[in-house]
Amino acid sequence: MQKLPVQFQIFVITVTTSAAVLVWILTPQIPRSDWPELFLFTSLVTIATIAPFPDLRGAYRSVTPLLLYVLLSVKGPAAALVAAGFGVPIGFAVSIGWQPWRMVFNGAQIGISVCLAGSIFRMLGGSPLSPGILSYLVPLIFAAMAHQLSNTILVAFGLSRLRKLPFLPVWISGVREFLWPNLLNISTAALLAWSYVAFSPFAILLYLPLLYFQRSGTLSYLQQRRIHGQAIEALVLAIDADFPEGRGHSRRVADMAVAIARRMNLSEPAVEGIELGALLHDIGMIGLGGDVTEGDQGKRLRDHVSIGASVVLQLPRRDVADIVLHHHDNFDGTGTGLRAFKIPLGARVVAVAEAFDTMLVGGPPYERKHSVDEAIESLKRDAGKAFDPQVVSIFLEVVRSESMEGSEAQPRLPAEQPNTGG
Amino acid sequence: MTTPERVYSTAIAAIGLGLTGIAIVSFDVSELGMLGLLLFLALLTSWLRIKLEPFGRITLAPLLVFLALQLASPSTALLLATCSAIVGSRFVARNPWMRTLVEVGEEAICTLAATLVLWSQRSLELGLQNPILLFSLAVFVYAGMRTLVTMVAAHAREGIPARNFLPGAGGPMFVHQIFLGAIALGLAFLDRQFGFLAIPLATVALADSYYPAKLVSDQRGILYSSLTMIAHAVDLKDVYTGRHAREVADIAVRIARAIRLPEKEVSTIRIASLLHDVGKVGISGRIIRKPGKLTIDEESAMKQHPVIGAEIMEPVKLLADAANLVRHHHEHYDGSGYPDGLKSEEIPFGSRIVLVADAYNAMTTDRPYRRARSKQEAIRILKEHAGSQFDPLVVEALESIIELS
Repeated sequence: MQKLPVQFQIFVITVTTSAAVLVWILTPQIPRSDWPELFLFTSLVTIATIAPFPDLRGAYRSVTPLLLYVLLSVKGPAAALVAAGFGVPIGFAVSIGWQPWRMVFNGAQIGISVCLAGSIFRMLGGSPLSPGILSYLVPLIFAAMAHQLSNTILVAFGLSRLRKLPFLPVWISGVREFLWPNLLNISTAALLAWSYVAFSPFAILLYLPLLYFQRSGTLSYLQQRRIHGQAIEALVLAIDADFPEGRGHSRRVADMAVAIARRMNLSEPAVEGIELGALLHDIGMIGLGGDVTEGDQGKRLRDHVSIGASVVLQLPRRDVADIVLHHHDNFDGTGTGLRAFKIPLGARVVAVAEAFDTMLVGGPPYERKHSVDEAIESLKRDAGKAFDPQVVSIFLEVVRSESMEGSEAQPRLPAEQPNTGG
Repeated sequence: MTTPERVYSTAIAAIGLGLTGIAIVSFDVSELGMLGLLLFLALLTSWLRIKLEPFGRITLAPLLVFLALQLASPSTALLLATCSAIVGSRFVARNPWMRTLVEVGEEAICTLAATLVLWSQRSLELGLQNPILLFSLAVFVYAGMRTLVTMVAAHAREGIPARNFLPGAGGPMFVHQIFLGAIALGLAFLDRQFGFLAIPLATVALADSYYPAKLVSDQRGILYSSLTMIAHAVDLKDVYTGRHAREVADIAVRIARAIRLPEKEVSTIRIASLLHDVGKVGISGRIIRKPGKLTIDEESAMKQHPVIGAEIMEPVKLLADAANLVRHHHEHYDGSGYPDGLKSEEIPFGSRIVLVADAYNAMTTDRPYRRARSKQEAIRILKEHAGSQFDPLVVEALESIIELS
C-alpha cells in the first residue's frame, strides 16, 4: 500500500475489517444444505466480475448486483455477503491481476452493501415464497436502493480520499449513472428469484443466453456507431476540401456548437443532432466547388443552404436538415428565412459557432482574419441582429471557461468514443 | 407492385380480415381482463420492432400470444395477435394500410396454426396427454409457420431466394420464437402459482435485453441513409439528379439477387453502388459539369474518380470490401475500361453489376442534354454492348428482372 494517502488506507482497512467481522458472525447462520447453491452463486459472481457488461454509452456495467439481489431475497443477507465477499475478489484477481487492496476492498464494500440490502429486504417483510407487490417487489426496491446508496457512498468516499476530490459530486455522478440500470435489475431479479423458488436454482442459468444476446447486441451497436461516425467524418473532409475556410472548419464548428449545446443542458439526442447539423452545415457547398468567388455570391450562399438541406433530408432526422436550412437566417428576421425563436435552436447555435470560426480563418463574407478578441466583439455587436443574444452569451461563457482551463472543447462524435470491442 | 406480390398480398389480407372477424364474433367477454392485460403489454412493447437483414422482423408479441394460448381461449390469442400487428405495422413502422393488413394476415395465420394444434388434441384425443409437450408442439408449429410465411413474403416482395433468407433472418427468427415459447411456458406456470405479476416483469426484462438489438437494426437503417446522403452530396458536383444513387443501388441489388449471390455479397454491392461515384468529390466540378468534349488532361483526371473513391472508402471498415468494387466499376468486359484495364473474369463480379445498373439508370432517366430512353431501348443498347462493355450474364439478369416489373 505504498504511496496511497493515509486517510484512504485507514478507510480501506476499516471497511475490510468490518466486512470480515460480518462474515465471521453471519456465516455460521447459513445452513449446510445451502452451501451448493452458495457455491453456484459465488462462481457466477466471479464470472460476472471477470466479464463486465458494456452499456450503450460505451461504459461498463456488471451483472453482479442482479445476481446478488436474487440471492439476498431467496437466501438472506448472510449468503449474499459471502457470495460477494469471495466472488468479487476472485473475479478481480483473474481479470485485472493481483492487486490485494483493490480486490479485497471491492469485495468488502459490495459485501457490506448487499448485506445491508438483504437485512432491509427481510425487515420490510419481503419473502420470495409469496411473490406480490407488497410482499416482494416493494421490499426489493428499497433493498436495491439501499444497496446502491451504500455502495456508491463507500466507493465515492474511497475515491475522494484516494484522488483528493470533493466527495459530493463524485457520489452524485455515481448515483445518477447506476440508477436506471439498477431499476431494470429489479424486475429481472424478481423473475429469477421466483423461478429459483418455483423450479430450481439452476433456472438462473437460463438467463445466460439472453445476457449473451444483450451483450453482443450492445457491442455491435457501438461498433456500428463508430463506423457511422467514420463515414460522416470522411464526407466532412470532402466538404471542407472544396472551399475557402478549408480543412477542419466543419469539425471545429461542430465542436464549438456541441460545447454551447452542452452548456445549455440540452438533451443527448438534441446535442447529437446539433453536432451532425454543424458537421454537415456546408454540405451544399460541394455543388458550388471553386465557383463561390465568381458571380452572384449572395445568391449562391443562399442556394447552398436549400440544396444542402435537401441532401441532408436523406437522413431520418428532420432536426438536422432544419439546422442546415436555417443556419444563415438572421435573428431579427432581415433577409430571407425565419425570425427569432421560429429559427430552430440548433440553427441559432450553429450560426454563432460558424461565424466565430469563419472570422478566425477569414473566409467569406469576412474580408480578413480576426483575432479572437475582435471576433468576440463582432459577435457581441451582432447579438440580437444576426444572432440570438442568449446563444451569444452562452458562447461567451464557453470561450471564457475554455481560456481559463486552456482546454479544447471535447469532440464527441461516435468515432471518437473509446474502443469497447472485445 | 409485381403480380406475384399482388396475389400474395390480397390473399393474405383477406384471410387475416376473415379470421379477425371470426375472433371478434366468438370472443368470450369473461376474458376481457386477460385480453386487456396482455394487449396493454403488447402495445407497451410494440416499439421494439427489430428489422432483420435481409428481410423480416422480430417483436415481443409472440410471447403474449403464447401466454394467451395457455391462459385463455383461441379467440383471445387471435385478437391479441391481430391488434398488436396493426399497431406495430401501421403506427410503429408506418407502413401503408395494405401492407398492414398483410402483416395482420400473416400473424393471424400463424396463430391459427398454433391454435389448431392445441384444439385438435382436445377434440380428437390424439394421445398427446402431456400439456407441456403439446404446447411445445404448438410453439414449434407457430415458429415454423412464421418463418415460412416470412420466407414466402421475402421472395414475393423483394425476390430474396430462400438460400439467402434462411441464414440471415429465418434462422434467428425461428430461434427467437422458440425461445419466447420456452419463456411463455415458464411464465404460465409462475402465473398459476403466484399470480399474474410475473408477466409484466418478464416483459420489461425481455424488452431490456432486446433493446440493443433494436438499436442495431435502427442504426443499420441510419447508416444506409447516411451513405445515400453522401452519394447525393457527391451528386451535387454533377447535374443534381436526385435519386440516381439510390436507384442504381436498387437495380444492382435486384440483379445480384436474380443471380443468387450470397447475402453478404449483396450488401457489399448495395454499398458499392450507392457510393460508386464518391471519388468525384476529388475532381473539380468544372470538369464534371463540362458539357462538351474533355481535353486529354481533363479526361485523365476524370478517370481517376474510381481510384479516389476506393481510397476514400478503404480506411472505413464496413466500406473496405465495397471499395474494391468501386475501384473497378468502369472496367469493361473486353478490357478497354479504366483504371486497370481488367478483362472479363478478372473484374470483380460486383463491379460488373454496378456498371450495368449505372448505365441502365443513366439511360432511363432525363438528363439536361437528352430525354430519357424507354426501358426497351435501354435494354437493347445494353445487349448490343454485351460482351464488349458489359458482362452478358449481368445484362441477361437485368433483362429478366425488368420484364417482371
